[in-house]
Amino acid sequence: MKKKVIQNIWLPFFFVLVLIGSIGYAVYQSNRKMLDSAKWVDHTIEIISLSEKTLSHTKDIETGALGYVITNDSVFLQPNLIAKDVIYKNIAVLKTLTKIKPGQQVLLDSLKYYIQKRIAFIDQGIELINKIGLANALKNIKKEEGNYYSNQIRLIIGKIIAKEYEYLQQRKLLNEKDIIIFNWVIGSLFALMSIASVLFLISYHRNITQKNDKIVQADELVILNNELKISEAKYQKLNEELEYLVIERTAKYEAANKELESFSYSVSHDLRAPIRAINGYTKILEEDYLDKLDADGVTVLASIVSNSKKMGHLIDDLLAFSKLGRKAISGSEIDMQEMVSTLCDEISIENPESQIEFTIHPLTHIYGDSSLIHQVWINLISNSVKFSKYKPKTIIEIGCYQKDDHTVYYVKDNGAGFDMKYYNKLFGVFQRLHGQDEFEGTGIGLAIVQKIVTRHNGLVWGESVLNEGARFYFSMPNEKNVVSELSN
Amino acid sequence: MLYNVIEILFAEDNMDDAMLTIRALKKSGLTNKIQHVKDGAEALDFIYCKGNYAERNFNDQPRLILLDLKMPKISGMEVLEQLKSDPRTNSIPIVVLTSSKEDPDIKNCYALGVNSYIVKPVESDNFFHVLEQLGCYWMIHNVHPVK
Repeated sequence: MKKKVIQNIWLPFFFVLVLIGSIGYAVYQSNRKMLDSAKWVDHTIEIISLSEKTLSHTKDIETGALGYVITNDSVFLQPNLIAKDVIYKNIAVLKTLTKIKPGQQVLLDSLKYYIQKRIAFIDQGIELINKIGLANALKNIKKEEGNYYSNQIRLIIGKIIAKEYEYLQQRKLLNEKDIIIFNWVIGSLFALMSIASVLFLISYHRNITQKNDKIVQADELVILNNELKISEAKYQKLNEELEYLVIERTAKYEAANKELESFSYSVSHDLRAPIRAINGYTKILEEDYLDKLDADGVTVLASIVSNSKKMGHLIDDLLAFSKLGRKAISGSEIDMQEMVSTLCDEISIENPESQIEFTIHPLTHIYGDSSLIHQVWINLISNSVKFSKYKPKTIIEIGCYQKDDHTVYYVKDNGAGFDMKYYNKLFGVFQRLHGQDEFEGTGIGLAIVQKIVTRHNGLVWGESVLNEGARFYFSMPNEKNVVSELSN
Repeated sequence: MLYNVIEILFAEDNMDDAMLTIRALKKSGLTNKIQHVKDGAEALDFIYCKGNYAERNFNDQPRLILLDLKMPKISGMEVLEQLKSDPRTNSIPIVVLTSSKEDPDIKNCYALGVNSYIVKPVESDNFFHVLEQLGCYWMIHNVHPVK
């Protein structure tokens, strides 16, 4: 991300740099072309000057010769000699200067030829004058020939100059064209550079803005982060508080459980002692003082014994019930068929006076605490046997069916039943719907059944028509894990 | 009192239980050889010949100790622990008598080396019957270590 930002800043900058370099190069080239033009101007001027000088020297030779002819004074021939020398040098220089121009070279060769001819003509004339005298010589000298040479020289030099001007003009035009092109290039490059500079500035500004934005965003992030940290700390604190609460509650629960345990122990221990004492002393009365009691006294003693016995049973039942709530449930697969049929056999043997007819339908296996479920069956079947004892025949039907994700087991009898209007009391601890003289018991059996089934995540319910029999149901979840969880 | 002929040391804080127990034991023929103490401290005093029992001969120890667990001062469990961890006294048979089978200490008593653990029945018939059998078993049938 950071690298990209840097690239974004530097790219237009490099572009501008390249443009500056290009402009520099174009200016240099343009300048070079201009210098070239100037150089060519100088070059042309030099050639023209030299050409004119050559013409001038030719004239000097002619004039010198003429002066000599007129005055016969050799002084006039002096510049003639110098000019001769200079003319050939100048032509050599011109040859060098116009080396690359073949046309000029040819013209120069012609020029040299005619100059040589002209000089030779003059030299012949002077020689002739010196030999035969001026008057005779003039008769013999063909003036037309000399004029012809001079005219040719003038013509050629004029051509050379004109040609040189032409060359200069061409060169100038070419350079001007190039300069115009370069000017255009420079102008375009300037325009491009301006655009690039503007773009660069925009980009730079944007980057700075973005950077600023990013700084702002970063600041916001830092703030958010801090807030997050604060809420995290709060959350952790809450969590710790919750954990502490859980620990505290667990401790309280454990303490309460311990207290209940010691309470149960105390109940069983301390309540038993006085009953034992009552029983013991009654026994002593029976053994040692029976002869001093009348029939009523003996009945009272019997009542004391039976009541204290009942008290003992109540204590035992209460203890068993309170233990149920604390006992850990272990889960395993229970063969209900096997369990129930064995139990029915045992109950038949224990109650030889009752004619019991058991009908056991197929019972499905279930997951649960085997000993506790055994207790449920004992309580339900014993109840059926107990409440059918005044019927000529005890008919008990046991079966099961599926409902939702549960297996519902039932025990049906033809006994005394109960009045449905007292249904709400049915599963209460020490709640009884029949007189003690009618049916013995402490009223804890169904309360225990309900507690066990509830701990297995099941339900217990019953239905009855008074004196026609009762039907009790308990449901157990089919899923194994429901019970497994209980065992933890 | 001639402590040296004591055959049963009986520790029980409940006077009713003590009275009924002693009566039951007497009925089984173990009349005047029972020493009743009211708590664990007194039981230890008796065994180690201290306090009221300073004149007793340490070598004449009872042939059976009947111990109630819930007692003031020093509990039956503590008495059991001390006597069973002392090589001089660990061979004396100790029977714990308690009111409830719910007692969480049954396991601990066995771990400490109790010789028997009896729950006192609530019903008088049973209660007397159990105690008669107990006295008969420990005092007559059971073979004691040679002194």
